[in-house]
Amino acid sequence: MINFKDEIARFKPSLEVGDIEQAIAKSDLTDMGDIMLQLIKEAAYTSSDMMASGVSNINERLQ
Amino acid sequence: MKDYSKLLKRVSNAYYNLGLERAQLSDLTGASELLKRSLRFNKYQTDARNLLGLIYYEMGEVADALVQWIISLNLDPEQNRADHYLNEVQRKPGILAKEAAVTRKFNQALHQAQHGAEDLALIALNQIVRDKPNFIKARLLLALLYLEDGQNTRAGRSLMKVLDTDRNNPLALILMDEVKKRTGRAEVEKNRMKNAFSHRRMEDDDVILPREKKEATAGQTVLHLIIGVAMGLALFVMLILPAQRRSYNIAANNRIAENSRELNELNARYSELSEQYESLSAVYDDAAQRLSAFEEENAAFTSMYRELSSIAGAYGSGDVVTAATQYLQIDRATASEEPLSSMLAEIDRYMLNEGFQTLVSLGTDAWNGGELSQAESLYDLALSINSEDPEAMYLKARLLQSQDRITEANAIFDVIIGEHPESPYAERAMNARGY
Repeated sequence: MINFKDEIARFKPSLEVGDIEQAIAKSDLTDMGDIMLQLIKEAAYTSSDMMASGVSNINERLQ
Repeated sequence: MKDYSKLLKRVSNAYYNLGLERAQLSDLTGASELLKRSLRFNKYQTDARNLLGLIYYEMGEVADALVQWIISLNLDPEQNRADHYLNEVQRKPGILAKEAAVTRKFNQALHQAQHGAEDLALIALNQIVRDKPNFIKARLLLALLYLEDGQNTRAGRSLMKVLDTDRNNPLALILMDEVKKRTGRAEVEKNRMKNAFSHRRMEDDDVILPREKKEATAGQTVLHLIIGVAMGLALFVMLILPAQRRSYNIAANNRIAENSRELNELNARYSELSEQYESLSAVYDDAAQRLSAFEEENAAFTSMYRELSSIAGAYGSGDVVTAATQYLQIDRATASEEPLSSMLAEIDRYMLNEGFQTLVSLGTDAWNGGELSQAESLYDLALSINSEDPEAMYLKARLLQSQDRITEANAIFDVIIGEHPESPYAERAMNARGY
């Protein structure tokens, strides 16, 4: 059974021509490529940190 | 990284191809979902973004279409089809203004529908879909409102239009099912489908026997003719008359709707004219006020100009007493602007010097002639022009003294002695006072 009030309430106003600039500014253009790049960068930073801490541990032991 | 990039592009292209396929089958909602996924994998998939814009445009969402084409052109400015689409929309005169007006009207109708004014929303939505037949969202809302109001056939018609444009629109399909249930159409379709797929497959041994045909007698023929005519009449009364009546009703309803629309247009025109009238009234009132202020200002100017001219005339003709009397009565604030201020400055210069001296001399002449009262008036007039002149003060005091008005004379002598001690008349005043 359709609940008409709910269905009508679900309708969203249409974008008005005057609000186009705002809509473009709010658009989320992030794609999977951007996400992948971010993940790779994070992974690279983590591994360089780990390398640095490993080198410092070895130096401590040698001393 | 390059491998990932290639892979993402491939996935994006695959989604674009699926979206294109759906769009070609008039499944706009399905196509738009797939194209959005394509752009999630690769935002530079220009074809997908342009097609998404086209789909929005086809569904009546012009602003959303423009957003996609503008983004597309920004991401890929070289030889982009979006440039052509944007030009097409902007080339048609007034198209953007018209689209903006329709969208605004729809948003108002939606607000009315969501806040209990369904009847107003229905009227507005009917106008909107008449102006913009492909506005899917407006047609869906209209169908919902019709269904809620129990107008199932109209709801069905609106939904048919939606499904013509967007074959698999989910809400349209759900609402159409409801329409079919309410009108009994669902049962009819179900039976038709059952019949269509319920035929037994014929075996090779099955034989179709032709039905035996009997010859009719003359009586039977006449009877058949009578039955045929009766059935024809019955069909005419049952089918054609109601249809004609319905068509008359539809025509009458259309006329009513047309009149109602004309009435609305006339009302709108009346409101517009009323607003214009009010605005013009305001402009007129403002202009009238300005004119009145200007006339008042002009009258004051003319009056002052006449007064100053009269003073100058009297002075020029040697009537210094009249000139001085008028000079003392003028309202200086009215002569604050050019050319009146220059005229007044000139008259000031004459009156404070030659005019003043002439009045004192005339006073003395009158005194010498025995006209004591006139002499006092002339001294008073001179002192009204310059109350600080010791000579005029002294002469007036002496005149009063000669009339035994000692107290008044002494008061003036005291002023000369106290306020003008450097003046030669101070010593004379002291002598006259008896110090």
